[in-house]
Amino acid sequence: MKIKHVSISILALVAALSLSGCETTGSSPEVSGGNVKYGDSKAVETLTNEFGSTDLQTIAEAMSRSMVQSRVIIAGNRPLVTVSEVKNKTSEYIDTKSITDSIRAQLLKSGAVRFAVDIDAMKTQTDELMRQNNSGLYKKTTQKKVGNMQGADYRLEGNITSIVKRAGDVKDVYYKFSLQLVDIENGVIEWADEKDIRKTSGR
Amino acid sequence: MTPLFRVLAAVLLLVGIAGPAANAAGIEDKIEIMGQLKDVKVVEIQARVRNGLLFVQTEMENLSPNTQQVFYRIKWLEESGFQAWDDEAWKTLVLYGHQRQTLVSSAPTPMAKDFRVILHTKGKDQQETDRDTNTSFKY
Amino acid sequence: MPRSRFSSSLLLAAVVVLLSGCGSMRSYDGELKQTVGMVKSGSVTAALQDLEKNNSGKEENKDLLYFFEKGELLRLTTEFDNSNQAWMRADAKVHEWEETAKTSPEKLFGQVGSFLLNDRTRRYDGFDYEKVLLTSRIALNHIGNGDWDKARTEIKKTHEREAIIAQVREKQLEEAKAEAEKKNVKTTYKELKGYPVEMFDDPEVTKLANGYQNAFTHYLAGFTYEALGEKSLAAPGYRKAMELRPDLPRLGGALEKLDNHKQRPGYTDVLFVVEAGTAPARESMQIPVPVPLGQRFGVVSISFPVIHSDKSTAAPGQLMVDGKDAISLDSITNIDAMARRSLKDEMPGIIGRNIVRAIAKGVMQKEAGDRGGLIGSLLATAFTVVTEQADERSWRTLPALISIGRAQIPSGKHQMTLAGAQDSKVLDFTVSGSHAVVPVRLMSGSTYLMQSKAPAAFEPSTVVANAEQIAPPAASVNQVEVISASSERDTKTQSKSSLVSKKRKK
Repeated sequence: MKIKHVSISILALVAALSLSGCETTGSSPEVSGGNVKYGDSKAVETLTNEFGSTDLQTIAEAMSRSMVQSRVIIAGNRPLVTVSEVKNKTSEYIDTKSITDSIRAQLLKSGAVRFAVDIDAMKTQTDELMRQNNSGLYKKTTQKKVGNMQGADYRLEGNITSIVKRAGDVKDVYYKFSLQLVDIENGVIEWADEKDIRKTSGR
Repeated sequence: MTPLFRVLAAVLLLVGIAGPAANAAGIEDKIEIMGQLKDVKVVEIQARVRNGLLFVQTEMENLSPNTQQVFYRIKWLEESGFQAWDDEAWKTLVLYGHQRQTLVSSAPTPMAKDFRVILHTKGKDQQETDRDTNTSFKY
Repeated sequence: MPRSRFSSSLLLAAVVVLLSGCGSMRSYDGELKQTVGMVKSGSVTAALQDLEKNNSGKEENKDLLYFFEKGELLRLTTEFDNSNQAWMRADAKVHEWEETAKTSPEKLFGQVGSFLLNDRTRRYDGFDYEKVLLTSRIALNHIGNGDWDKARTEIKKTHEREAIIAQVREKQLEEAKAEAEKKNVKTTYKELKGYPVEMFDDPEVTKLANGYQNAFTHYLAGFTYEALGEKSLAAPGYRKAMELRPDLPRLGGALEKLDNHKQRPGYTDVLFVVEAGTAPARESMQIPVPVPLGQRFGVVSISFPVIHSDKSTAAPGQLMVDGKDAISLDSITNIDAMARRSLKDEMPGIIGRNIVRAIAKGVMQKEAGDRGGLIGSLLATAFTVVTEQADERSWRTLPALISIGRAQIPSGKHQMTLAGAQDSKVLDFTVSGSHAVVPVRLMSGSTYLMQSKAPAAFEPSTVVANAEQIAPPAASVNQVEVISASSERDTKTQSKSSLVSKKRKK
């Protein structure tokens, strides 16, 4: 008797599942198997207290907003900046390149700053120049000349540090991201700012 | 004029907002509330232009004795009412019981001439489901 | 009435035997002893054939272990692509586990069947340290092929995997505690008479932070990111390795060098990875445990796994390059100790399950005896004997010990000798590019060099390459170098077979 009951309820469950599975297809511009959804890419993420997307976004936003207010940029002559290294001094795998990329994108979009290729992109840049000039494959008039690359006026550099503490079930992480803008010719720091973030998690 | 309705007509004039924004007669027009905002009140909003960039100062007060968490972001608008910048990341603000807190936001671009403060709190049922997921295993 | 009771228990026994038929009757330890023995005597081809013979079933029924071992054996023959093919199958299975861990971790904690049956009938999900090492080894294969970008993907996967494991284990620990309290099982491994507790009390085991994080994986992550020019990611790799092994001061050098070091032109930064021995075996040990049976207590013999270390291969303390430059080796990861640590962490669960099962079985045996007379009792006893074997499964071809050494040496051909290795053969190897990994595996009398191809993409970034000179693919060094005193013939067939497989691909 019991077994029969169980099997009937399993049957019902299977039927219910197969019925509900069909509903999503066809009637809307979504083909979905159930548990995957697109979410708000700007939503506040607090799944774990490791460095996350919200931290990246808020740091990039705070830094770029602060930098466009600096004196050298307000002056309005759109200085040329290059991104140097942001050192990761935490023991978490944080891709600081991805943070500086966001900062650079926002600054470029604001129109207040121009950027020169950084060291990482240098090889691609010189390779391209060399190919145009040395391969003999390109039309003379369209060849980009060697020796016209512009030297940056300022260098953007910084670091990210963290303090992690655990006590019992509570884990507290404090991140500090500092960034500075250095005049390459005279070594003067023209602007610097910090953004700190505290994340605490309890079990 | 209560602080609640201290409209920044003067400020807006200074900013040079024309059209519908200038006619706005209350803080409400500068705020968009999503979800519920029962215990948190926006006390004051001020705006001014510094070095060509629009600055917005929002003052909020927690009316309840409990700590409240508010999500907020600013929507930056051009003169024409078009959005001047991408959606900002949502940010969190923690308000302790009866705390007043001031937020200063600066526009990312000189194109931004107007703004909306978008506020979001967790709805009541949302808070409950959150509590549920906390007790079970969560990623 | 008695008849139906008897037949139902008979049915149960039959079902149980049927169910267990697939996995529990095989002796993994026995199979792998033989396979590993072949590798130790220098004959990987035979070992591969042996593995295939033992896993001759349908492709889709092959389990995680088969792919673990197959990938490792193919790596020894430097067939990096084939090795990764096998390991990616293993990786897919681990990924399945991860998905379950993310969505419904409670499913992982007690696979239901095992309460009644033996642990060996549980699906083999791999130990945590195996899951973490898997992606590291796939990355090593990619580096062997000169593909650092693909290696980076695997290394990033390792970080994510570690995070998932950490969360699951934390949760599991809590749950196991609650469960033990509920079931009132208070026995710990310390109370098992005759159980070799000393294997858990070794300082090598007690100093481990947990059963899944290993310093080698993080050091390799640091090295890979450094080779790719991503210092901000390389730093935490080295830092984590240091945190996991604070007793190895030389690891700190990598971090200092990351900031202050200038690559000498014409030199290659080489990471020597010397792996020795094989991962330990798990064997069954019968221990009498008192359990409550109805109103009285009875003593039931329960089998528990014990770790049997492979002591065949000593790890060398240093290696010599070209007979003059001595490079010190640090034993950065002790997989033998990690296996013991994993078992130690597992013991409360194993004891709990075994005691619950012993009670159930005792009741069944008694009942069968009461109701079914001699035949029933016999049947039940047979069932007891068959199922009472501990879970002996684990990834056996993994090394017991991983040591690393690092040095800058001129790019080009070199010779290496390993101090203290049983096999004192001179190994020829070639390094090129800015960074290279030279992996060597010592197994008893045999030495395997898993020589990397040149990472062609990593010319020093300061050199402006002339566009017309498209860099020729690095001269391929003799890729297969199985150096074994005992079987010269096997070496030859090996090189031939791998050459053939390479040609076929083209």
